[in-house]
Amino acid sequence: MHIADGVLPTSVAAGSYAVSLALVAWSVKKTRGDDLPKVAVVTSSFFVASLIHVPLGPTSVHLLIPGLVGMLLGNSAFVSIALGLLLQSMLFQFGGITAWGANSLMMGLPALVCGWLFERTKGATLLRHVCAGAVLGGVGVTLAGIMLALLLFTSGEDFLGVAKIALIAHIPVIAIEAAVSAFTVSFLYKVKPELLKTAFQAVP
Amino acid sequence: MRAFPGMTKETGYLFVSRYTGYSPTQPDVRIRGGGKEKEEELSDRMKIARLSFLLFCLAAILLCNAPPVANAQGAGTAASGSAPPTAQSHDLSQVEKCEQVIALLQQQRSLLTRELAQIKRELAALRESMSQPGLLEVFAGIGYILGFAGIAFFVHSKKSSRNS
Repeated sequence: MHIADGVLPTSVAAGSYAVSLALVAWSVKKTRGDDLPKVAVVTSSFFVASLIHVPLGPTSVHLLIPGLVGMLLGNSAFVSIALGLLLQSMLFQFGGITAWGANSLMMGLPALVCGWLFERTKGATLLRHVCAGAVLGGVGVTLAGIMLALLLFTSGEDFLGVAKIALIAHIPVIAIEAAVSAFTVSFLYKVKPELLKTAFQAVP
Repeated sequence: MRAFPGMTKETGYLFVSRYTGYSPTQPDVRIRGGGKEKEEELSDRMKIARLSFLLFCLAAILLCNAPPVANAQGAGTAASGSAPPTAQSHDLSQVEKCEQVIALLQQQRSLLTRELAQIKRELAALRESMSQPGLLEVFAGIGYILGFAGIAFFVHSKKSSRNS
């Protein structure tokens, strides 16, 4: 789910650049220095995850993991996703450089929303953590699909049509991401629960 | 280009250029166009090339026949007095030669087409494999990310040491 160069009108591309840069600055400011290794590792995972292709009938889909990034990083998720997308567009030619702002918004905002929701729904037990992780892993991709439709709507596409296509094409991704997120959250809860707790702590 | 009886260098080049559409001075559109031309265009071009080649052959036969025939006739009557070879038999042999050349050229052309198609397939496969991100790009990206994290860590430690 990447927007290529020249799809969006210039005004939308420029506007999304501005909003993305502002959000990146905010996200950097909110990032705790002690969390930097975690941010780096999660950013690397996000960067590489899009290369993991899951064969599906005649086509193949790849992981997006905005939900998982949001759950693990909280406020820092936006800068992580923006950096990952920048490197993806430069090294892999996934999405265009001019559409970087739009792509960052498309993946970063769902990540922030998922992180925020996870903070409020995760509770204290393993089961609740896993359930919240699974649901929000799927919600992340769904929101990204809706953001994609919204952004393409500004370039004159039919909003509902694009949203439907994006969501139908990503139903398998939603299911896979839910499973991956649930597994990751349950593993982290058992092995290193601190990683799931620091998401929205204030900058010291 | 294989030689055939009676072929000079010039006629050989002419045959090749007329028949295959290739000439040393004009760029070959089919090769340089990157294989994007439509099949119909190619076949049209082939038809025109074939037609013009046949016309050229006819003209060449008509033009080239006259002096050798006259010479042969002159020599025949002067030396031995035997019956001179008729113009018809010359025509026939020329036509046979032309047919031989056509067959040769067609054979070579089909061979070249096959080889070109294979090269194009390999080129497409190469382009496809080159557009796929490889291990190098993955590690480069991870290196960038860790590098940025390192810079951020450095800034953070500077800040915290200044604060303390």
